[in-house]
Amino acid sequence: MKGRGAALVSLGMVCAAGPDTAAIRRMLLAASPLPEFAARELLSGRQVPVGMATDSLPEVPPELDRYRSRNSQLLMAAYSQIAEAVEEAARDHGRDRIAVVLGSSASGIEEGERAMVHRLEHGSMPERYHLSQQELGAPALFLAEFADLRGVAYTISTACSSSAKALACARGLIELDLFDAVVCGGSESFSAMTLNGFDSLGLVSDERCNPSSVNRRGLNLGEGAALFLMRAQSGGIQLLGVGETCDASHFSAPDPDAAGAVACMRMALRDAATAPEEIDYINLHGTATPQNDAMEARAVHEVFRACDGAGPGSLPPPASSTKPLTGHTLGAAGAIEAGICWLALSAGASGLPAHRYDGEYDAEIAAITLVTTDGSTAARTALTNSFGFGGSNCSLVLQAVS
Amino acid sequence: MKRFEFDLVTWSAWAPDVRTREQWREWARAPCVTTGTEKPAIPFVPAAIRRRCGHQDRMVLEVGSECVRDCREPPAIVLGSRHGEAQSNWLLLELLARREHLSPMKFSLSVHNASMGLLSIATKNPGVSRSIAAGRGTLAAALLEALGLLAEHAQVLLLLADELPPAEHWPYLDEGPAVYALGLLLAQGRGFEIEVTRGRTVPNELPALPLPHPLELAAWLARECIEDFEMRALNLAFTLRARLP
Repeated sequence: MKGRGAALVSLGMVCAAGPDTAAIRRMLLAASPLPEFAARELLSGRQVPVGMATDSLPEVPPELDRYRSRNSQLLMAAYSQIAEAVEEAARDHGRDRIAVVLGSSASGIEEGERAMVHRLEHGSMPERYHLSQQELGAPALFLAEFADLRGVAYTISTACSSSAKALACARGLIELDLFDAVVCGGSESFSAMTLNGFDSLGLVSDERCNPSSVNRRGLNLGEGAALFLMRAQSGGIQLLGVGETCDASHFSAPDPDAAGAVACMRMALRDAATAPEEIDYINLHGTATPQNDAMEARAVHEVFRACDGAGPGSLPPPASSTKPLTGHTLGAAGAIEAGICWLALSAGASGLPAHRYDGEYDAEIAAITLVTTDGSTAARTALTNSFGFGGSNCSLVLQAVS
Repeated sequence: MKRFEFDLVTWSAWAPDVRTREQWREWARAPCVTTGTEKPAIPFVPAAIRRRCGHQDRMVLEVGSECVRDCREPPAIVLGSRHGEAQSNWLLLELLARREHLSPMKFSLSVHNASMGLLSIATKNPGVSRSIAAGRGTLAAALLEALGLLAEHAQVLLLLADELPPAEHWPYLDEGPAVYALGLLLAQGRGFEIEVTRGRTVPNELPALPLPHPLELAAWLARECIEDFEMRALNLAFTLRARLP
């Protein structure tokens, strides 16, 4: 643990896997049915599944109309689940001691999409359009204003590692001792631009994504938000370690040597002062693209192989990709998957989050242990990976401290 | 009030028609918003990377490479950019609205961290890098991040950059718009101090900024950091000061 501790005391989430943490927790079991994914049409005419969150989202209040976007609504839905814990922190420390740090890769870009269609038809931007709906800083600035939090507010945008890094930054702010609590996490709303952009890269699957399988055909996009309240205190579930590296090689494909991912996980373990064999569960980035899963399996194998054969019962830790439940929520993925780890580490967790796939492990990629059935294994320490465009990697270690 | 210390190893800035230190000194006598379409040539960047670069990417590569030229170890990087890859995003939105296919390269370089990713490839920097946006408080947020990273890293490259947002966005802006990149290579040390105090800044009650904060900072650097640099943003007030040698 760092100097002051960084306890993740409360969690709110909304995504395709459910509208709140209770529903999402049930969905993590191997026996539960997979959540419905919606069908969306690509520019090419192809129909693909997308992990959409519920449409019963709160409305953005009229006085914050300049931030009106589905992204803001997702944040409100997640925030309603932690508002009580935030008010408690506000009573303890004051609202000016609470910061907001969020990750998002595209903010409310879907409002920009609508505005552009309007502009091409009518020659001007729509009357209710405001740049704040899609500015990259908007998610954090909106939430700070909505929740009346008076510390700093900013957004980290490093593509698919954005909200994992937002948690790292939140811990950094606590270490600076300028704030005692940080609302941190991330949000990403469905965008046709992102969906078609990923399709242009040939990464979007026609079917439910199938991570680690020999039959995997790419990713499903998803949307959602996850918010933690982080407080400067020991105990509880701690953000214990952070690793951040950059592949510094190819821009939009993972480095097949996995050097950046290996270094990233090792940095997180070192920062957490935790040995590989102490990790009870790994939440994989696991997008189900051929390149990501091969690279990540190689990296996990490399970092954790020392556990293998070190004695009876010391196999590499069980791992799963939860993207078949959520879709790839891009800038929100790091926080959503840290949230899934948090649920697995919480009291009353009924086993590790299951790896949902067709069971045909790709023999061409390195061997790792997947969670396929519900077990009674209690997890104490978990690691989660996020890898993004620009070769931007982030691994987090969370630990339940008694 | 909290006080932090750091050293400024070097700085570099680039804007259309304001390229050299001498030009920045001249500009700083009467600072104004920098605009224009001139781009740095970045001849030192491999052609394969260079031809993918947008305006902001080129400026970030120019000042970023200049700042780290004498670094023995690659520094951690913080990029503050309010609008990110504004031009490629606008272009992609237009293509999408016309139902035309998106270019995979344009799409992958439309992410906010694109210029930072290109810089890490060009300078072979595998380390920590974070890119940040916070409206007109972007410099304040990036500065806090840099200070946080300095506790654990010997050097931090703080970059601030923006390209010109599309004209359709200008009516919604409360500053600028401006075109620039500014890089500061910070190190652990005691040559400079920053005082951070609480001071509520209520959004919507703030007057528009004649100059975005990063250009105010560039002006202060170009004037040899003589007076204190004051900035209010994100409910904090910052005072930067050079200590006497």
